[in-house]
Amino acid sequence: MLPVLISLLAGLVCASAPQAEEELVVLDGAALQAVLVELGASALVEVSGLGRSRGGRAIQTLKLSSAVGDETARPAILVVAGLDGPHAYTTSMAVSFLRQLVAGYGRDERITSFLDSTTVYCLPRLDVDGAAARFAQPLAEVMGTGRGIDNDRDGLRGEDPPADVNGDGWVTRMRVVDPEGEWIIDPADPRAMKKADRAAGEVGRFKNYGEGYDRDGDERVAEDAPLDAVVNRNFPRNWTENDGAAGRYPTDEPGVLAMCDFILAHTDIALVLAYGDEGNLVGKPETQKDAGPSERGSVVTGIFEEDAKVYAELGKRYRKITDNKSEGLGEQPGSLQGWLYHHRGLFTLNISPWAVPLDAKAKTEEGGDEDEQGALLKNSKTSAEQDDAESQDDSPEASDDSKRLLWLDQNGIEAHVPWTRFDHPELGEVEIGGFKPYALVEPGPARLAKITAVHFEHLLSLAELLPRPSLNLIELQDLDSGLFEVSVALSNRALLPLFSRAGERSRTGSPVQVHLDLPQGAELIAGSLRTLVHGLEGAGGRKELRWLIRFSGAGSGAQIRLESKHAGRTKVALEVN
Amino acid sequence: MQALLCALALLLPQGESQATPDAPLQTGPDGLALHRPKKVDIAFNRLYDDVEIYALLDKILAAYPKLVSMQVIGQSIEGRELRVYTINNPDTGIDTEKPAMWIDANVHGNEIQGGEVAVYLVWYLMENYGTTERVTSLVDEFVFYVLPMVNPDGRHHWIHEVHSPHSSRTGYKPTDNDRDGAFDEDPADDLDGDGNITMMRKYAPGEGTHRINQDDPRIMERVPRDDRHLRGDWLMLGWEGVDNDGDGSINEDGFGGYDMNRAWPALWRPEFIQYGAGPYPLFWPETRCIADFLHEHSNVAAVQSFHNSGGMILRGPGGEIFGKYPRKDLQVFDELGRDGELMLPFYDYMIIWKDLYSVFGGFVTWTYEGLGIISFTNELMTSARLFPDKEKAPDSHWFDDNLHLGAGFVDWHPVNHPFYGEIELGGFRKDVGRVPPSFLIEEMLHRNALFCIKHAAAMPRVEIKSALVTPLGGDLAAVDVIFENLSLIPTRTARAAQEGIGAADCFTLEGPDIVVLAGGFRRDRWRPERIDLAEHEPARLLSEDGIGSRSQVRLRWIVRGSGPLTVGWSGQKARDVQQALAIP
Ligand SMILES: [Zn+2]
Repeated sequence: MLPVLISLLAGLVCASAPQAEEELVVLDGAALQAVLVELGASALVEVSGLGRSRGGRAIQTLKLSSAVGDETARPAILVVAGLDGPHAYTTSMAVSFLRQLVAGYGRDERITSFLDSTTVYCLPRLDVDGAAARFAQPLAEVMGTGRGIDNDRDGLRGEDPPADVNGDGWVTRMRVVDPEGEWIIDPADPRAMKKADRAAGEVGRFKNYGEGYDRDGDERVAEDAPLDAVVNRNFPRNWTENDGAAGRYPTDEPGVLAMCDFILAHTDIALVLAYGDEGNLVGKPETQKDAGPSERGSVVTGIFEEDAKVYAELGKRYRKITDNKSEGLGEQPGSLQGWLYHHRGLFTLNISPWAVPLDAKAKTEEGGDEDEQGALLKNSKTSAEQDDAESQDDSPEASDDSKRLLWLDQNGIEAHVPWTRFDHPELGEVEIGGFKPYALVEPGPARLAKITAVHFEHLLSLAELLPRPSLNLIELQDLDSGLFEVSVALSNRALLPLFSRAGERSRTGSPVQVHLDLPQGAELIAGSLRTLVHGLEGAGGRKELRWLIRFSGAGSGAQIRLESKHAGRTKVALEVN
Repeated sequence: MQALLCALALLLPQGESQATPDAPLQTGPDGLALHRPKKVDIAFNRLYDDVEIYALLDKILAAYPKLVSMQVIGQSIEGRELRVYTINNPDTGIDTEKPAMWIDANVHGNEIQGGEVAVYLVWYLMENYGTTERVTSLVDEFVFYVLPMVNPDGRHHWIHEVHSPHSSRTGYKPTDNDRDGAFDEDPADDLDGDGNITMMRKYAPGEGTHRINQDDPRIMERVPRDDRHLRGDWLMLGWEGVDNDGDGSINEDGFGGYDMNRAWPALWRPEFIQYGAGPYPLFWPETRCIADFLHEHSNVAAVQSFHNSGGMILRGPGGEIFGKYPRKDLQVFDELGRDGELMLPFYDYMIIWKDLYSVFGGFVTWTYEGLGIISFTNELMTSARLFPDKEKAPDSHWFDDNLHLGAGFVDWHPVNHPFYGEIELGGFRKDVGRVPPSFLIEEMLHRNALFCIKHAAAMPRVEIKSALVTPLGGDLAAVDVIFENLSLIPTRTARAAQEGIGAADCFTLEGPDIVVLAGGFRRDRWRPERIDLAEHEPARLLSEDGIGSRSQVRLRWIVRGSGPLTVGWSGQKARDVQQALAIP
């Protein structure tokens, strides 16, 4: 780990202009801490504690804002990464963004104006406990890290965890010949396993377990890990009741509670970027219309049609900048991303930065161009168990895992541990092998640097999309005897509306306030001294406000003032002579 | 157990009663007319504030320090303690090893009288312990966790500040209900300074929506809308108040402004579906500390929560979308609910969503749906108690006029409103309607406390009905055991079994020289070979279903060896039982 740390620090010290790294590695807890300390030394950065995880590790947030002008009048973008253990690498992206912003402020015009107009909050790693597994021996992908639960309902907690049975340093998978087995070896690639398609006459031959023991003798293997409530399934939206993996109740996990309170406390957040397993910019997110009708109190899946249009445009721009083809998962129960959009009304860009492409072609033909224009490819991740290849024709469909292996081979990545015979103490003869932990999740240092560079570009492109309504005086007409009619237009030229449709419904955002300030001697005849604006469309959304005011003498000091938590501030003076 | 009871009876301070030499010595049980003087004297014909409620319970605790203990489980928004008073006899074991009943009240700040039910229950159990046999055995066998006030802030403000019968329902975390960036800036205002928040009406001849009742000028009635020719002379302007924040609305951002009985993590829905739910479940400290307490006390096997008003014994589901509760659990709910209707003759046993209204994230729906515990909410006080025969009661004033001589009503009187000009104020005082009058309080407390006792007595009690060894030849033997739950409530509710809530029940057999070869639940009482054989670990048979309501579970183990052995049952909702046997 030490060399990594040094190179990162060196990068920080030497950076004279923002420059994308050649390679970006995954940060362990200490390395992340060191980077936060370095970043905290910048006058632009404020590092705050967000409490500790269940495992006692510190969770931290950063705030970046320049000292130019009134920083409280700016909208903010929140960058969240490291929502689960396997996606620990996304923390490196978030931290790299911050380093580039810090290094570029005052030097790079785009970065300077970005930070002078927009606050950036960053939570580089929420599941700090899960991320620790990335650096543990043996290596395992750990999704669950929270409160221990009795997965197999035998009265014991965590008695049968995944383990490195053959001592090769990786927790992979085990296949065992078993008459009850539902798995077969994929004919397309004997390293890959696929579920037997019984309808097509395929007969299962293997059982396919995670690597581990049956220490409690219940004929289930590695079924009860010690810590297995999943942090990013513990948020309140569509939380799964009575499922230990989701926590005893929403916000049971300390980091989740702290995160929720952070969101409630920071009303200046106008947009969230969440890097993790969910995605809504590459594929088309499900809308409420897709989800169909619902009864009172049912959890409506899918986003509002109005918001889907905004997401579609955001997705188009995102894909253009990043060329990312990883769709990511749809909204997961109890995820931060779902809570932010549905319950807090925040536009939340869910980004799955990378997945092993499924479109690799065997080298026999050249079809690159055609492929590029092809349909969006579903790149799901994680274990082979989730694969459910649907064949369109009669020829047996190659499993997704075999497609992944093809791509990995072509790119020279050794991602697979060959199946090796092993005499298992409980199961007898087994074969241990399969994908190395993190091999299907992490893009690798060089690719991660490239991915980060384009995602930094994407981040910079977002400031101008945030709603910042302007006030324009349309009319200041002297009607007679000091009576004036005043009208102003509130307009929003940005792509994003003042509130998402979900935000209008959830009534969670702070409405924009338009105040009429009158000097001594001026009197309001019609209109109201304060107006709350609960919605304003994007891309030219407009709203007019009118007043009748009687001025006795000069009206100096009269003004109309727009105040908001997340959409900036502005004012216009009324000069009456 | 018998020997223990005698010893306890001797310990009771019978000689300490305050009877003077001249007074007749009365020794009858409490609740009957000629009962003996009390060790702790409490006036049960009035309601108390938050400090007094704790003081009363502390007094009972001081008189019965062995059986009553207190712990602070959390603090309210304004720093008031949330206290759980535990009734447990340490001589019969520590509390967490016995089934317990949870009782709470007053989550809605203005719904206060459940706090007094809690006090009465503790007092009744203690005053009758050692003298009323069934109280003694109940207290020896079971545990009571009593939290008299979930929302002591709401109670305090409702009692000590100006309020209507319906205000101060919320907790007191400042909340921006009108989303103008200011918190709690526009509450109701006591315009006439009389200590009451009543209704505002304005005389508007020919332009109003209401008129004065012909028989009783205190009563306002809406002019029927379908008659175009009828116009009222009065406008009703809502609760007493002004537009404190100048936004054009009156009383739209009062203190707090949320509902702590919509905050629980079962069928919880966000604010835009369920008013008062908060940004996430258990958002307020009062709710979170209770959730943690109940999660840490898996021995709680019965739950009762008190609200007002309406005279209801409520059970979930809170929303139609939930569907139906499992049939086996409904039998338990129904039996207790029907008994409740008899014990509380002015109350109806009802389903929340169906008979009242939809409640998402309610407390007792969570304790059942999320914790698997049979749970009720009682809505205390009903006008049916005031007017048993509604047909004959002339109007809502008749009771107040004749039994309080009009003391409950603030008659309409003029006031100058800063915005509406000349208006009139009038209405019932805050302690009329939702809480009973003084002379009916004790009856309400007793009936509801005894309904709790009824529910507590239904908590599971497991016994080993029989345990038999049958030699099978060689060194093999069969061990047949019948476990019985004597009570109405099963050791695992069907909900707990379905959802995998809490730990499964565990039936065990162990002996130093015994090898358990096989075992399982018997399917047929007559045919011993019909066994659902366990697939592994036959010495430790797990059961999600537990032992049903007043039911038996029959097991057979096939063992090898001889000598002493122990069979047993352990579970979360009843005391563990064991029995020693021997194979010759
Ligand atoms: Zn209530």
